[in-house]
Amino acid sequence: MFTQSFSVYYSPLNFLATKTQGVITAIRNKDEQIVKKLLAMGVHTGMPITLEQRFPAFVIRVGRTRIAIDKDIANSIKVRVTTRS
Amino acid sequence: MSSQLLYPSPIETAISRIESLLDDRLENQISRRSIALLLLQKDPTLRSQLRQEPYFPEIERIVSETQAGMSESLTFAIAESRHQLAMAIEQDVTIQPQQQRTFKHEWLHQLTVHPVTGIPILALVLYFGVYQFVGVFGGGTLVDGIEGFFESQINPVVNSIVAAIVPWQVVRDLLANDYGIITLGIRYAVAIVLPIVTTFFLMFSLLEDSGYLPRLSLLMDRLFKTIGLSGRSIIPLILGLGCGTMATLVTRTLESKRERIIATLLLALTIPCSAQLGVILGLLSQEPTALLVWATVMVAIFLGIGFLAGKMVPGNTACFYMEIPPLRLPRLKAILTKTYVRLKWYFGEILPLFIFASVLIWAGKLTGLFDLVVRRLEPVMLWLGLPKEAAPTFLYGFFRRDYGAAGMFDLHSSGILAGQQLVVAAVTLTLFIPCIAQLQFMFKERGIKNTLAIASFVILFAFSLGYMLNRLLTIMELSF
Amino acid sequence: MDCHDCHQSCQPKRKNTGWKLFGFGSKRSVKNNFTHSSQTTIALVGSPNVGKSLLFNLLTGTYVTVSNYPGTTVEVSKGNTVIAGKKVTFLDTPGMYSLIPITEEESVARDLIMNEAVNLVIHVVDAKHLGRMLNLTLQLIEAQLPLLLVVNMIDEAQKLGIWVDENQLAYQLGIPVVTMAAAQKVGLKKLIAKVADYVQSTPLSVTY
Ligand SMILES: Nc1nc2c(ncn2[C@@H]2O[C@H](COP(=O)(O)OP(=O)(O)OP(=O)(O)O)[C@@H](O)[C@H]2O)c(=O)[nH]1
Ligand SMILES: [Mg+2]
Repeated sequence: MFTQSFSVYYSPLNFLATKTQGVITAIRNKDEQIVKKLLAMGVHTGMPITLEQRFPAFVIRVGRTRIAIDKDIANSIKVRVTTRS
Repeated sequence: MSSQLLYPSPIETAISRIESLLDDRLENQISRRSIALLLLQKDPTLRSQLRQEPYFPEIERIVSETQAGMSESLTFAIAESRHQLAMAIEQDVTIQPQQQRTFKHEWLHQLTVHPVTGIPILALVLYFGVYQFVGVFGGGTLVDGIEGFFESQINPVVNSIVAAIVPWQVVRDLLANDYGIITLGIRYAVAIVLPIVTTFFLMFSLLEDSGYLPRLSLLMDRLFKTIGLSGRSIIPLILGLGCGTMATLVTRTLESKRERIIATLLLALTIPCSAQLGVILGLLSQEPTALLVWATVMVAIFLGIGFLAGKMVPGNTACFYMEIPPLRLPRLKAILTKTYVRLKWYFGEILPLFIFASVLIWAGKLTGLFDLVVRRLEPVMLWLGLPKEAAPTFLYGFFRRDYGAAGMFDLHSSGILAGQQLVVAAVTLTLFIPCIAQLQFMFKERGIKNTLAIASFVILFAFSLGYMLNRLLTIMELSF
Repeated sequence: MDCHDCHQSCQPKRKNTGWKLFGFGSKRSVKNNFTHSSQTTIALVGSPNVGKSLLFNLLTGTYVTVSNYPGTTVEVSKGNTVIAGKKVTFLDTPGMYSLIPITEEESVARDLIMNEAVNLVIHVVDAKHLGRMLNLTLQLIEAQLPLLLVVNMIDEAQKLGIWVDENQLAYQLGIPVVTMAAAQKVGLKKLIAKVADYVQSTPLSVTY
């Protein structure tokens, strides 16, 4: 039970359903380069994020920016879910 | 400056300490503060630049000390401070709507990226854009028209004028007749290559300016991951359908060395240039089975070699990230200008080469060298099940892919190549040798070792595959 | 992106041996203007796909490829024009997100502004993503490079209901700012006027 409710509120992006909205709470990856990349493209903690699509690639919207990423990168973005529709 | 950017105090302290270490000899245009910040973020270029300096270990110590005292990575902390200030400034200087708005054509974006609608859209783009427009219209209708005009109107006139004013047969052959500069070199360039390349560049510019390509990258990413590439590589690969030379340069946008090597190899081996594509589509469109065999073989090789290369080339799987810009309505003037500039560049490249090739063939004929080489190639042709008249075409192909393609068109019109042979020739010519120009660029971008490795593999592979394909088709008794 | 872009290729560090080797198509001579004393060099930098190349074409009257995807430009191109009676060389660069380069072509742009004698850096940003792109502006200010900020694509921003206050932004950053829509040539005159101000006001000894 605990883990389940936990994953709803603070979850890696790739576990979320399409159209989920949330706020980025952390960006973590063993590869520092990927973190740098995301930061440079404007993906920061505290930014609102929407998951638009999951397949064939993840498509996210951060602020007004739309970015396509693969599963590995999606996994490094942790999100606190705010709304679901 | 009213908005001074200040970092958390441990970082500010580290900045001043590093600043005081840096000496005056540093030949940089940028401030010491910047350099200190880059060092704190472990910038690789700057680190290797300063590695020899006596104070470098001291810098390293400061960086790791500062890092140890922070809960998050330095890069992160620095980016975060900047981000905060940047967002605050944006808030201050812009008026934004309460609700975030989207563009009116948002629905079109959704259609292009959703797999259920995106794949059919891609199929439509390929069918109408590439097959119908470049292949059937450019490579078929236009080439036949202009070629026919050359053969019936221009060549005879050129031949007779040259015959009338030039008394020496040797010089006549240089300008006119079978291998003349005008009757062969210029004709190939203007009548066969020009229409195809023009239609291709028009179509490609349209794709580029609309913003379709990033969406295609996104669609293909999964598939491309299996061949060791990321969706990003679709752009150089598609550009390669226009001209592998340009495309080899564009592989720079790929992230890892591994991805660049695989893309370069696939460009050299499996991606036909637009002239080849147009001629092949144009010729084979009359024989659907042949077209199907060619397409299947090419796709299979693309995926197969990609898969193997993905396994063999060292390095990690590429990651994929790409900003998706809004779809934009292409402006006609922009498309025409771009096509024109590319054509001008392309012909600047090929005309001298085509003319040079004519001269070379002429000189080769004079000295008998040409015939010698052709005779050497003839057994190879027979081995592939091709008529020996196909040998010169392969020789042209070494020069320029498009030149070889034009030669194939000629062979077909004179009825020498047909059916199974056409398929085998098409496959082998598509695979074999990146033309000289592309080799130059491979050399420039990837270095001599990779270039030699790729080139020798490509040649060997092309002929072996042509041989096997011929065998297979004979056994299967496919008729075209 | 394409090879025709590099007809005036200006990467002094990288030798163009590939071309010379075979001698085809290398008639174009590479002129090195950096040593000329009465001359201003201006580099256009910024994130990918913000309109740097389009702006370069407008400013210099030459053509480099403009396309709607990030990563179109992979090499530096050079173009000359005359502004305020002085010869000005513009450099178009591959897009970069930050001063820390990620891909190969990004480091091209950074090396250029770090190591070459550039008199003025024009940072081009997309008005729709102002906050995000100001990151790089702040880095360039930190680097103490002479800087001008171009906020491009205001036509698209306005469609999304976003308005940028040019003067307020200039005040906040302490550098000249021009808002424009390069595709419609809106604001181009204003930009040229600002560049002219710069060209006239600076003694040309600056970075030599
Ligand atoms: N609507 C609109 N579109 C613009 C404007 N400026 C540029 N564009 C378009 O934006 C796209 C990108 O332009 P480029 O000039 O290629 O961008 P770039 O900054 O050189 O991009 P890279 O070379 O990838 O770094 C093109 O499709 C342009 O037509 C503008 O002011 N308004
Ligand atoms: Mg550009």
